[in-house]
Amino acid sequence: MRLTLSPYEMELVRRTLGREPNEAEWLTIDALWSEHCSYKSSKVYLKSLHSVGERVVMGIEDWQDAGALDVGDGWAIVLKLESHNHPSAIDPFNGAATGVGGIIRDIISKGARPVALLDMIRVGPLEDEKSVWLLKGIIQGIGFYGNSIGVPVVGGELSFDETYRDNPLVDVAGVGVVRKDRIVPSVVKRPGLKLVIVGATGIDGLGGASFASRKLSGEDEIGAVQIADPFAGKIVLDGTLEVLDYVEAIKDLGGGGLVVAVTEMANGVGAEVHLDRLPLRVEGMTPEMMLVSETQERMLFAVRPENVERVCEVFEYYEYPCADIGEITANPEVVFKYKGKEVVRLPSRLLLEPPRYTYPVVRKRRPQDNVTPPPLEKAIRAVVSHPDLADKEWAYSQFDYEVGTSTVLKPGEADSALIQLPNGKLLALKGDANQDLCEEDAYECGRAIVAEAYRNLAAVGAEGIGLVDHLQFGDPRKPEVYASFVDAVRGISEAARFFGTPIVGGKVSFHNENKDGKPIKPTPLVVMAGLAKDKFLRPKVEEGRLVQIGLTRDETRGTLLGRIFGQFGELVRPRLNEDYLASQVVIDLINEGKVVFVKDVSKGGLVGSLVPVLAKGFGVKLNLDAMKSDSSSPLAKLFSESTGRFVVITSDPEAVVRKAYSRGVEASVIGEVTEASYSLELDGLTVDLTEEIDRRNRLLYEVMG
Amino acid sequence: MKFTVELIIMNKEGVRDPEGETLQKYVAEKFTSKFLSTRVGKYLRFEVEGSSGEEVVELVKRLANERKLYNPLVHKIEVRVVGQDGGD
Amino acid sequence: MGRTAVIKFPGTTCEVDVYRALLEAGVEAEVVKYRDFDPDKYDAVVLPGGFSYGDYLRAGAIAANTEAVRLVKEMANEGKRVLGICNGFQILVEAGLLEGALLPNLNLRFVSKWVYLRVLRKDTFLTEGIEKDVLYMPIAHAEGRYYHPDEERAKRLAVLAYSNDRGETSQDHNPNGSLLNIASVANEEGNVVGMMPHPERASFKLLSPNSSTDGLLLLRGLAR
Repeated sequence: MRLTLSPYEMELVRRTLGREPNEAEWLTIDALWSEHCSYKSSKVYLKSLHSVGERVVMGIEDWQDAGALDVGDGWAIVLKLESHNHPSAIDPFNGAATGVGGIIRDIISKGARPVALLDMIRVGPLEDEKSVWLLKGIIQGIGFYGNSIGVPVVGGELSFDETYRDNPLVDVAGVGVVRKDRIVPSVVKRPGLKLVIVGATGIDGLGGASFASRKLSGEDEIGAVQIADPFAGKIVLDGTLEVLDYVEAIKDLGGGGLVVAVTEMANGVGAEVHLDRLPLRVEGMTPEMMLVSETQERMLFAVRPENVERVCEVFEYYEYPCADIGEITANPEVVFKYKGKEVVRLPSRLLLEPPRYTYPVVRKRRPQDNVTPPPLEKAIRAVVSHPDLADKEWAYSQFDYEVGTSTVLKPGEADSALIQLPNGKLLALKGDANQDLCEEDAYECGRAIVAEAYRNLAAVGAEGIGLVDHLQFGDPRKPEVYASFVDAVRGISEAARFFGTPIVGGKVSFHNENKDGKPIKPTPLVVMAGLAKDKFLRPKVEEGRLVQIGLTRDETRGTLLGRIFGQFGELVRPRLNEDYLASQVVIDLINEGKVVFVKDVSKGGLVGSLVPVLAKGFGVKLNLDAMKSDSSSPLAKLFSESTGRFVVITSDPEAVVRKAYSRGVEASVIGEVTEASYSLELDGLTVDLTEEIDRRNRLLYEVMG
Repeated sequence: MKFTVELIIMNKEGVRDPEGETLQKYVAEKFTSKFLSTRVGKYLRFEVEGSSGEEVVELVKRLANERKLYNPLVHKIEVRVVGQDGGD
Repeated sequence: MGRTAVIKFPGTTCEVDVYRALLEAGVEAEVVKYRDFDPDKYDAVVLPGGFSYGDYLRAGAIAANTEAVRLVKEMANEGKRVLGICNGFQILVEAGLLEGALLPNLNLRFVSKWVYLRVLRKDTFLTEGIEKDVLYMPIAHAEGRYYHPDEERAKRLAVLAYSNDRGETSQDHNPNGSLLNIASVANEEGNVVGMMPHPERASFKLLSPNSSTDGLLLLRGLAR
């Protein structure tokens, strides 16, 4: 197997140990020091993320699998966000499906019952045959796993962009619920506990952690392919929730396999494992293979000796393998034995403290502008027709989004998903990324995606309480890439602090590049959770007055319009206070019953936010002169993605404006929703969008088959 | 001439087959311990026009490769002629 | 006596949802794991939805071969009430408790959506005395295309059919290609019913897009 350690790192190991490690030990070090497991290139900056708050029950401490937030009445939610980009690029079905499995196991590792999933998918353009193949497989794979284990996919995002043609992004977020005082740790401090593994180990997924930590080579990556077995995943899920009272710590076997799970669980103490006791799926496996195999659907438990039998009984009921493979020791060394012979003996500290790196940063120079802004009507038709704004029913109808009987707002129904928690409260969830703005300025973008998520939650009546992030970039050794990483972290952290939505967990995925080594557009992504204040809004399109809450600024750079026609004009720069205040206004209006429909203004600007209105068979008549804006340009008014804005449908526009003013927020009555189907009427220009909307409604069904 | 050609798609050796494993564990080996393993695949049958067996096998292989009827990273295929009709 | 068992197989996902909805409907119920099921303790049994044994081979096929389903069959023969929802319906069909077969959806995709259903038969324990003729609830399945070699027979057995909100059962409202838009069938006696739609998901006002709770109307049949 190929090692990813650098010559410097290998020398460091030899020096620290005072000897040459054997092959099994090299593999162990390689897995633990991989980017995937160690965050060696990102950790310094990750430390700067805003991670504290009243509701934080469990934050981004080292070696915890997911974060947790207090949602009242003794309950907490566990949040986790992770990608499976590289596996999905070579086997979209299994890659995406195993991604779901991994998220679920992270959540049950905390003793939480998984209650919701979100999927944020980014692929190449729909004209590209391979991208269509990828998307089909990805959606099928997520559905296959999520449906089979009974966890609803309640929301997500779908975006099509040339930048993801070779390297799709498949982000899945999971949410679990747990009694606050029953959260199970991932780390143990007490020697003498038994290590119990469930699930049989095979040779699939050998070296996956190292695989995720380098770019796709295009070679035969068979070793890294993992086959999803959701039925086994469901047994692991049910069984784990049944044994919670009898285990002291739980760790999912993910990237890096057994060595990583054991070492991280025994952080601070030590462990001794007998590999010959490991249940195996195939014959002829070497001890080295057993160490780093990434076979799915396995869990590691730390169990008091008197409870081992009880734990295994639960899994044996389902005829699922379970074995006591070793124990936690006081000696801070990780030891693996095979048939009495020692194959690995390494100090835990060496394994858990790889060198940390920060790389040089170089500001990316923006090429000279030579973009001619498009004519208005052309721009309207192009944005309305863009696949990013197409109807997503083709995707979400493949998910069992009702299982669990807690889905209040269904996928596609509103800006955020909304689920009912065991304490009766309503939890809103939304994932947001914005590759257009991030490509232009990752710092403003980091702020903007947090602000957008905050607004999206407000649009259903919820206030954000915390978030998880996932930072997806190219090769960190490229100074422009690392600069965008640093900027994104700073931006996200700043906005999270501003909104009081601490970051309770996160992941980093580097080496996302196309075949020619060109990095993807920086794509940090956040998933925010929030609680409905009191009432929530199930948005309904009907005839009424359209009011824009917030002030339009002439900011078209880093927008969807720019992605289509070339970026021009001023950069989108979020004014976080405007996002905050406008969100408060919207939440108040929902609680006072003054609005029937709310949509935040983001992708595609005002026109983008009117697409759901038009798609329901209504028309929109706009009076752009009435819109409060720092520009008189119709293009800016229609397509700027300046933040802090919502459009609402109301029968009482005066009350809406009054409410906004009372909070110091701009508001203007910009038009009305009419019966004139699919028509967008501006001063002096009426655009019949029947064809575009019809196509937008059917697009994915037609392309994907 | 008209040939009947089978295309069988199976997971490669070493690639897991959860469906086969589940059937083996919960059905086949419970039936009798003489069942040692079970693998599940996909079976496609084509009627193909061509002048020789080699030619139609090649054609089916090309179809499978170019139209992604299987994922070569995970699957292996077996193509075989099972019948032919004289034609004219 | 008077209790309803909700059986959980490996891979069942809807047992708690069904249990909660039964409580809401006023039905005394409990969840029982498939190997612990004792039919003598119950008057009625529900096989809930999910993916028993991963739905490997064919949906419901492996579960249909279990001892638990053999016991369910005995209950059915004694005239006790048996309801199969979604995967439970598939199991009942695979086990021969209900006629016909459930094939992969015509578009070969998993399909999750809210649908209208016309009530065709009111002589089953589930639909007896029900006043509404059109019900609203969600479906979520990949293998729900009902098939029966004898169309006349299928007509006799059908309990619910996919329709529009006025109860018209045209092909436009057939989500999976089912014969005669059939969403649910029962045996002649009406004590064994299978249905693809999920009544337990249409039993809570908050979770329903239009606040209806038609699922409760059916589930109350287990209490009647």
